[in-house]
Amino acid sequence: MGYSPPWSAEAQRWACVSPEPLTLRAWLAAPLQWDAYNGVPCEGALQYAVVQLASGVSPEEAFAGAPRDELVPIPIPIADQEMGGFTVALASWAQPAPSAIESTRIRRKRARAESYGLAKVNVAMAEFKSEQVPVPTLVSAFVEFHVVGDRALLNELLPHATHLGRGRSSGHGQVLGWEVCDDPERRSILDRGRLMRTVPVSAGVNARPGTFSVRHATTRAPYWHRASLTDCMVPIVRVL
Amino acid sequence: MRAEALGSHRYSCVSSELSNALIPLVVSERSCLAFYRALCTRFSVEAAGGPDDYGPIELWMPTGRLRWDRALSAIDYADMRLVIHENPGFLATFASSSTRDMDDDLLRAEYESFDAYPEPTKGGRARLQLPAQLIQPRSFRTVWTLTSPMAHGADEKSGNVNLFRRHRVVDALTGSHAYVPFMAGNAVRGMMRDMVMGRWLGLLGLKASDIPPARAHALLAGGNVEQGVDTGNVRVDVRKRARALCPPWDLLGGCTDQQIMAGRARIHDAVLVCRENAWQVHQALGVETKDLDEWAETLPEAAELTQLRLGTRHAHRELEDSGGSQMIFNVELLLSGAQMVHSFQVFSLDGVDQVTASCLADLLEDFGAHGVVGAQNARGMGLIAFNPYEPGPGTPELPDPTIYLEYVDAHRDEMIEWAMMRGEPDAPARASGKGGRGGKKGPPPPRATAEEQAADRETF
Repeated sequence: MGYSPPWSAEAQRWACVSPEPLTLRAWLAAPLQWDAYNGVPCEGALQYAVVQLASGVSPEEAFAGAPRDELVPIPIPIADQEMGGFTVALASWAQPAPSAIESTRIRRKRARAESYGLAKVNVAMAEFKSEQVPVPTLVSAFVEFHVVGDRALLNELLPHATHLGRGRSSGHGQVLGWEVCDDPERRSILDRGRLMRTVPVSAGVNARPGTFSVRHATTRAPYWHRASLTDCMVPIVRVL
Repeated sequence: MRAEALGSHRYSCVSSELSNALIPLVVSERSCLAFYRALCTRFSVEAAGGPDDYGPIELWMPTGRLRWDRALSAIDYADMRLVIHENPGFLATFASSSTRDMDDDLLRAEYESFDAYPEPTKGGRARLQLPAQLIQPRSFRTVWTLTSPMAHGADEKSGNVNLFRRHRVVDALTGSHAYVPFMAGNAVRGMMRDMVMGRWLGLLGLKASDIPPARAHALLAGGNVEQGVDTGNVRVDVRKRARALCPPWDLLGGCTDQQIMAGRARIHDAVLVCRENAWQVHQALGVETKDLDEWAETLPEAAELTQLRLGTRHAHRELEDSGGSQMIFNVELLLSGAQMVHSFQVFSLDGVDQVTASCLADLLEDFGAHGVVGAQNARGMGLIAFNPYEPGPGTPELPDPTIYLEYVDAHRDEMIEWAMMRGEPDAPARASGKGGRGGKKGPPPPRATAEEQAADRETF
């Protein structure tokens, strides 16, 4: 029996009940942090929303005390599928709009040196260092996720999915609004031979060569957790 | 360009001067002709020719020559802006290549090398189909109206010109791209952090310089992760204590006592109301999607909404021992009267403590009373007027600020103890048990039980 957080029963209400192929279109009000190596999935944003709604605290506090090597499943209204011995969410990576372009945003942090009550504050190094960090971003009117999910639950949960990607606190990846549309082509894993998300190599997905690379990657959210690390087929993301 | 007109030093550095000058010139002028006039003036070039210059400037191409005015007529100024914003050095490289010493064969070879470049292509400019209705994340928003020009420094320096910060956007109505002024959410967040932390310390009778530097750095600038600290070691007791004793901390988060903590608030970019952003801001201004195209046409382009202002600093050499240096500088300002839509979210408001939400309400009152954003406030820049932030669809109202003020009053001593503490002890911290000014006793409470939270959901 694995670890079960105290709020897991509350979270269970967000589990996918009536799956159907859908396209979630997130209209963006701000650039999305985007490194062009790992794509932006939607499961993390949905899990973040579920954890906050179920626990009332942020995920890092909601999981305090959880064993680090154990991946705790967080139900979201997206269907899962067993592929090559791993559980994979039926949800594509973010697909940019045709007019999207990569850009850069500088993130600044300035020490308020005069307020620290010290005779001398070095803002060029050490603990009070001020920062100016360039961050790669994607400028796109919207991004699309092709998923197999529960429409009713998604309609209820999406208002809480306010941001995508990193840098949320300062507004990166801000979602202006969501659209939920039908996806008759069922593009969550493959779109006309093009790989749409990370899948284990052992799943033997018949993707078109040149649309993916093979490397170590994780197969399910939270993607930083090493529990699902394996040899994967990973989509190659290109913004033209 | 002639060395005699510029002087030998400027002439030797002409490529870097040109590179620095291009962006300020392209944002300060409104047409190709005006841009060209300003460029020629800057480098003492007579576009029409003169006694010491060659005749009217011409564009030399492998197929022949073209006079400058005709060449300019074929250029779209919006495209020129985009190229210059992308890489002014690219243009400066070509412009500063001297051809005087080249013989005809060498010159021809250089022109022919252009054949190796692929034909330029223009990206698709497809209009996007905007939805009539969106599932909107819960947020609060308002419209700032600038009552004085606003400054907000760009990411890069351009000589002695301090440009306004811009980012690239997609205009969903045309599918085209543009560099549009904006105010970064991080900047607004930093300003709000200064405001709310300063107010909290003031309520406690403290100044930032009274508390340990590391704590002051955490409160005012978000803190830092100390080297070698295991950031995966989540100490719930430390976090709960910080959130309970410092509601502004719960709101904005940061790193203190080796704990990286998420804040509740997500502060967004302030979006300029202009033609390129029309599709993003129309709802905030009460325009329906069906009227969007017509309304967008009435808005100015973003490039029309800024201007350069020349500033000077005098050396005051008439004063004895004046060590000052004379300088001139330009600052690009967003025009007074321009509007920006600003919004933020509190995630998840259902799970946020009443005290934190009340602290946010207090901050917004304070922000409204100050009504200043951006840089150069001491020079009168950045005055704004705005209506109170309105909750969007499905967003609960914020509670009254008095809840926060009474909470601070009741837990004043514990809060001062936390603020003055140099690092959390290893053992779970205990509250002092002393009563605050309001005479209430006991440790800082866990903010709300599940039942209380459920009750909160119905009340705000």
